[in-house]
Amino acid sequence: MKRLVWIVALVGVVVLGDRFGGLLLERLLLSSEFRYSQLYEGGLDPEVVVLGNSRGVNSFYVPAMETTLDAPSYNLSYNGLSARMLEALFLDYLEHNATPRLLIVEVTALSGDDSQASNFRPYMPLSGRLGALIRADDVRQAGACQAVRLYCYNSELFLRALAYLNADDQNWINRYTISDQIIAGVADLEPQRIRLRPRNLEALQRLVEAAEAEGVTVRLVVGPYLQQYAALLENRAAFVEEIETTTGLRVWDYADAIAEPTAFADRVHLNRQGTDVLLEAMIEDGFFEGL
Amino acid sequence: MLFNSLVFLVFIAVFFPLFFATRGLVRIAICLVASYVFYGWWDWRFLSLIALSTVVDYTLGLALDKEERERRRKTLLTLSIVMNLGLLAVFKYFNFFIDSFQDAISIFGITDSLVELRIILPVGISFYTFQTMSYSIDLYRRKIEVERNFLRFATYVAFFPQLVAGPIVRASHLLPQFRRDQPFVWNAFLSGLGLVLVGYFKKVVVADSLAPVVDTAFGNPEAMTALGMLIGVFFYAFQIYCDFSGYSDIAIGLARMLGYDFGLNFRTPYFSRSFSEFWQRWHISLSSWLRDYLYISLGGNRKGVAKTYRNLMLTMLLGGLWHGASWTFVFWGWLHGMYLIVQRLIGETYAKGVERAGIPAWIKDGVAMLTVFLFTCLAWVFFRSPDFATAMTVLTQIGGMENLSFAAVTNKVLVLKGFVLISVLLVGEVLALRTPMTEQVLAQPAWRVVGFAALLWAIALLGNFTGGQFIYFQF
Repeated sequence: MKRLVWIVALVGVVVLGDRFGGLLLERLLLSSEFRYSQLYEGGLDPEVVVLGNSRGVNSFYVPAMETTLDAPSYNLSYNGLSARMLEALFLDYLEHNATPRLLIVEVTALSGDDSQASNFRPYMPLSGRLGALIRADDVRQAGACQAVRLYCYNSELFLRALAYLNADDQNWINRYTISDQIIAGVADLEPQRIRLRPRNLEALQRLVEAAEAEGVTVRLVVGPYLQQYAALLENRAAFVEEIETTTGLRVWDYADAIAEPTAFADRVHLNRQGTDVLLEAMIEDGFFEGL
Repeated sequence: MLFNSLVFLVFIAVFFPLFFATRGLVRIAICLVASYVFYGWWDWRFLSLIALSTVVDYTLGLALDKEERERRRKTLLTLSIVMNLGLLAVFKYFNFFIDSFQDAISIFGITDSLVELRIILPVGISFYTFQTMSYSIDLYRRKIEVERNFLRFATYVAFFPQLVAGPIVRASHLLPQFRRDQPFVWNAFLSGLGLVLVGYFKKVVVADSLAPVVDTAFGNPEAMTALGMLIGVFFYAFQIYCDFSGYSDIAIGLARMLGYDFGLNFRTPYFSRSFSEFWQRWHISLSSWLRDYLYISLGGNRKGVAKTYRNLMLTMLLGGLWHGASWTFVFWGWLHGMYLIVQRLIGETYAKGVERAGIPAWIKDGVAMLTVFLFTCLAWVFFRSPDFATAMTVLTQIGGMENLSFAAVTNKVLVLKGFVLISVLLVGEVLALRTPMTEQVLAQPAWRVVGFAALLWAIALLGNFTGGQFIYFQF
């Protein structure tokens, strides 16, 4: 009998602790200043929102945008995001926050798969859309998340949220410069292709329609690559053209717009200095006109 | 089958009730079948090797027991050793020998390609061959009784908790336990379960969280900063410790739940104050095997200083080679051999000097622990690197001391998580060193609930469930 009591006590403590711990961690998550915690906590009111993958993170430096454009801005990009994830995140954003005037989408996210979805487990209890993507990507992870609440928080994103408990994450950007070795290495690379996944293209189209229906101006962008690397992207024109045809929007192609290698952190990402160069070029091109 | 896989949980859920519902040889037969299923899940073809090793050593064991003539006994023992080492030579070292020979003759301009077979390394072969060799040697030395029951002997060779990555449990320790029915003991069951949970924590939480940082560092050392590389090496020391001792804890815990005792395989090795102490605390089942069957057989320390050093070095070199068919492992063994020799050379003088200087014990011990740990880390560089060129790049990057800024370290979030986990581990180890306190606390049912629940929560919250292989599977 004593053994049975012990087993029941163990199971009870484990389950209750899991649920209670889950609730505590959710509160902790939402109190963070990490971008997605802020998104789901709600109350954001920027005029410009940026969406993209790591190239979106490192092409748009929010503090500089706010100073130069005199418009509150918010970057929702994250490493490895696909357009399907951008769609889910932006639709959630619209539900929880004020509608922005301008949405910038860095479109190389159309090449991404949804493998980053499971990293968003901490936000799964807060978003049916993310939940569906996580289930589609890995049904076991989604199931484990529902059975064991603490498992939802077993994610790099949760650790990032902890890191930004009392710190603004909008100034997170690469601050180093590409090495000569990596630049020289580009000469040895084969021609590259930007993959365009049809499901991502459909998601982008839906995203554009949803944003425009809310009166948001959408601008599609290809962020800069190291020029020598951009020259290797053999299907870039076709990639851009297909997106333009599908969405009916112009794609502002800055893939080879920046010549100085010192503006880059690596072959595919700008650094802090590079974002200023890009912002200047975009203003000159009238990208922000009407804002 | 991996301990950290879902299928293993199903396997255990079927095996445990069957085990406790049966008695005598039926129970032993169930253990044997389960062990073969466990191993065959990886590759059933290699079950034939275990079966071969079992049949040969069983038969030779019976013959050894009957035989009284010393020369014949020696021949029978030699046969057993040749067969077991032969299996290792073919399946583990064949290509290593060929490649090394090819490298050697290329010095003379002969570059013709010799025969090369791409042989798959059967998981666990280094463990079960050493286990069966210990049986034959102990029989030859008349230290144990022969096992006449084939089922029991076959189970001893293949018993699943320790089959693929140890600990190497000697026949003298395990076979007598198989000869009597182990009753179900609730406290032993819980104690074993606790050890299993600790093992899973070490593996899926600590080792697998450190793995990505280590893989990045050793995968591309040229791109690492000095600090990044240093962190990579430091993390590897704890990754391999938690990976292997985690596996051992699970194995020992499972056996304890079933009523069997495997002994200890690790005892907080990074708190060692000397290299000899390190080897009494690290992979105890292998180091004691090498001590009893190799070092002592070579003469140990009974034949003068020079031969003692030779025996130490030979034992460590072979210990290195046991880990893998590569010269980097041999060099790792050589380094540890040198550490042991240098310690013997200067240890006494150093101890007297410290005593004369009146240095407090805690400083003396702290410095000794740090020194042993740092030199162990140096050896791990060669153990982890795929070749000498990589190892030298790692050491050059660290030695260059260029860029010691944490800002330039990649994977910062994972690095910080790693440091937190290592700190938790070390605190746990310090508490475990005070064994009576820990045991007394965990003996209380309420504290046991708290302890088990905390481990389960930590595993759910911090564990890596991508099915990372255990490092020692490759040995």
